[in-house]
Amino acid sequence: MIAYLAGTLVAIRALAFWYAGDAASLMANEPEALVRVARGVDHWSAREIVPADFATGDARYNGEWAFATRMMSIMGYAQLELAGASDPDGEKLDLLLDDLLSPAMRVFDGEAWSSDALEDVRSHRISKPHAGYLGYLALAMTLTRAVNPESRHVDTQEAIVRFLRDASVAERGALLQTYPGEIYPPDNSFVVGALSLHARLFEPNVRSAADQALRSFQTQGIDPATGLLVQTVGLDGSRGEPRGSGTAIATYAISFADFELSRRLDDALVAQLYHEALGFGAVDEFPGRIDSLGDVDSGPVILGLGVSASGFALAGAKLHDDPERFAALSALAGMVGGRKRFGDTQQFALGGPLGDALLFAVTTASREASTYSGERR
Amino acid sequence: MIRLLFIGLFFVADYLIAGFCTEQEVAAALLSPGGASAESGVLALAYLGVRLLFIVTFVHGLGKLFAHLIERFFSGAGRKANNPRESA
Repeated sequence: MIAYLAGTLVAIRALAFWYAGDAASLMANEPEALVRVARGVDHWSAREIVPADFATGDARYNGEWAFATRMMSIMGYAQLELAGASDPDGEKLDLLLDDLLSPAMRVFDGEAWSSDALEDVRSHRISKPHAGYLGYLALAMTLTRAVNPESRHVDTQEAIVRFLRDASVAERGALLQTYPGEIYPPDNSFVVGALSLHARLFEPNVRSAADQALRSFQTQGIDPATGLLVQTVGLDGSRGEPRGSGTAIATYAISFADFELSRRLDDALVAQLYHEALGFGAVDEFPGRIDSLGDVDSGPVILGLGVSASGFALAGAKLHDDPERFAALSALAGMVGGRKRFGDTQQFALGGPLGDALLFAVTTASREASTYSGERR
Repeated sequence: MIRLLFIGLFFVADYLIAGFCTEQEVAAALLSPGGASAESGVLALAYLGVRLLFIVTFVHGLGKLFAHLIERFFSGAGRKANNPRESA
């Protein structure tokens, strides 16, 4: 019996090693492995993605998912170029940005605000900051401009970043609203990432606004008791519950602004929410709670373990140089998502457009891309 | 031997269905309006079922194999210790 148990433990370890796939090569930023992941996303990039492709049960979330699919694909491709793993392809990134800027992609945000985000940027209506749409868009556009200074969208990128800068300054220490009356620190981490990256690469005079936004993010978004990021902040500044998915995705986005803060968020996540056994790793969605089944942000939550949190946490493990954790989280993603390699392409059989794009962005994240200051590898 | 055959069988089936699911964009169909009620749901369930069978047969098979090897090793060592000819 003991021998049988020992054998099953060895077998589970072997499975974890198998399902981790290219984790070691991705961790080392080996071009072949990075490009294999990109090829899996090429499939979705070549076809139209619209909100009607999704059926979350809510038109706003359908729009968010379509938008996130394109946005995360852009992040992945740009990171690939910054890692020196692929040749610059400015036109490909610009075409994806065309999509992000299209009216269909703006509907989810426009309906919530009762006004169009790009129209508000043009008329400089900073009382409507559209942090959900513009924050993510700004980071994708700024990283695109970093790899392709000749991007067709440079003027729009600059206008959006300046709009977010002025909106942040006008808030005088408050975080920006994603939708009217709704403040989400994870979305603000993308605003802060975009402002800081822009200040570092293109316009140093944005620096003071970026630093102020970073301070607001720290003081209002981070739960002092756990060091984790809270998911919501009330208009009166009251903090909501800390969450694994929000902390993990912010660890990624905030790395473009403050790499050490990203490390501290990652440390808190590991200390409070991370579990590893027999080569598989997973992240709790809530500290000390297993009664939730999840929501649109967390994905399914099983016995307290969050699907989104476990996937997003790959970025923190990679950025902060933890190959064991990266392999363990990759093993879980490989097993649950059905990772398969077909020739020189890697895809997740159960990933779908959003899953493939998100995993592309987080597994190609790198310190070189996050701290990029204008000098290529 | 039969265990090995089943492990191999489920491994190949897992790979083939994964390929088919990817080609048919099963995950995308599941997320799309009305997709979950179509054949994509059956395919996804079939895939998860085969994957589960592979994992169970693999873990059980390797566990048994390991147990067998350990028992043989110890029983062989025991025989040797109790065998008067070998101990002499």
